[in-house]
Amino acid sequence: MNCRHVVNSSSAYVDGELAGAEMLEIRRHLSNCRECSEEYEFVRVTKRAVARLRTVAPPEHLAASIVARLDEVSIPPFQRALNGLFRFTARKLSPVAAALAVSCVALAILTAGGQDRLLDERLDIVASAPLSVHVESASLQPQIPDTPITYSSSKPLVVADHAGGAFQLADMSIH
Amino acid sequence: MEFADTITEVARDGDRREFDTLVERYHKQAYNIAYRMAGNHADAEDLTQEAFIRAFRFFGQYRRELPFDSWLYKIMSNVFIDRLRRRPKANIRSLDAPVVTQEGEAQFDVADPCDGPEDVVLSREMDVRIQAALETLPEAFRITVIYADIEGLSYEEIADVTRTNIGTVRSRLHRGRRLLRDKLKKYADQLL
Repeated sequence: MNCRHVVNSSSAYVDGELAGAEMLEIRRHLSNCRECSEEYEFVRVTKRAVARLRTVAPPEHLAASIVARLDEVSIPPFQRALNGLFRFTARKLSPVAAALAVSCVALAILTAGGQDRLLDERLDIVASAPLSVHVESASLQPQIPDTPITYSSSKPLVVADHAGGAFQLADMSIH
Repeated sequence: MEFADTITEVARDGDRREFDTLVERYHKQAYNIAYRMAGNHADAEDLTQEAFIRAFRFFGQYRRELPFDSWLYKIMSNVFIDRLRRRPKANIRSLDAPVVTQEGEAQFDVADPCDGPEDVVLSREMDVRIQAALETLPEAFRITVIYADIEGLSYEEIADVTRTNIGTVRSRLHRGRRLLRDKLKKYADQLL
């Protein structure tokens, strides 16, 4: 075990977060290496100093202020429904299954509602953007289709050109 | 429909009573951590309030078998980072400066009633220096050092609270303490 490894492990050693064998190796190294021993000592002292910082008391009104503000908190129906569902599934299912169930429902709600609106907005933005491509070579000129373009799935294909001339792929496909 | 509404109402009232009790029980330690993160009373108070309010919004998703303080710290870390992103420059004030509130001045707890006056003064000076040194750390390092050394959380717990892995916690802690060591080296004899 070299000094670099010991120095890098000094914090974990002080915190007792190393496996037994490594702890023993470092302890052995420290007893024979003055430089590493000094490094370890200062890490230990620094940790102790931070741990000894005094506890700062809050203003006396803090708890009452928080409780008063809670009265003004309105939880949206969507969030309330998720919270209720989580509470129900947590009682009936394992934590992992409960989290999965809630995620699925949240995803389903998002897909059915908000996600559609987001997608519509993005379709509008991209559909209204000029179709042009910045290219160096004439042989790579873009082919502009004669037939009307419709956007449907989410595959990236359309290239939108902005002032900087950079390529930007939108989540679209052309049929 | 009315029955369903009544059930929802009862559950909400139950949650609210339970949450009020948790506010009463945990607001002091949350404030202490918030103060060490933010470095001043005004921001610590805002941070504590915001963390509790955000926790209340998601209280239905709090798993009762886990410690509430760890869950609250997870939220508080997010609130702290969000705030720093919105306001890059921290508002730093002296620890000794009294803060006037509507209820009077906010004061420190006395560290140890057995300390003599000289010890208290020395401790307060070092307290200010250590807090100032903490505030120079990048926020991810600062949060990690505070959770490890003030709250005494394990690397695994810190990884959970800060949504990272144990290797990152270990690295942040090591680098954070080295930076602290550099800042505090000249006071080494007073730290012993």
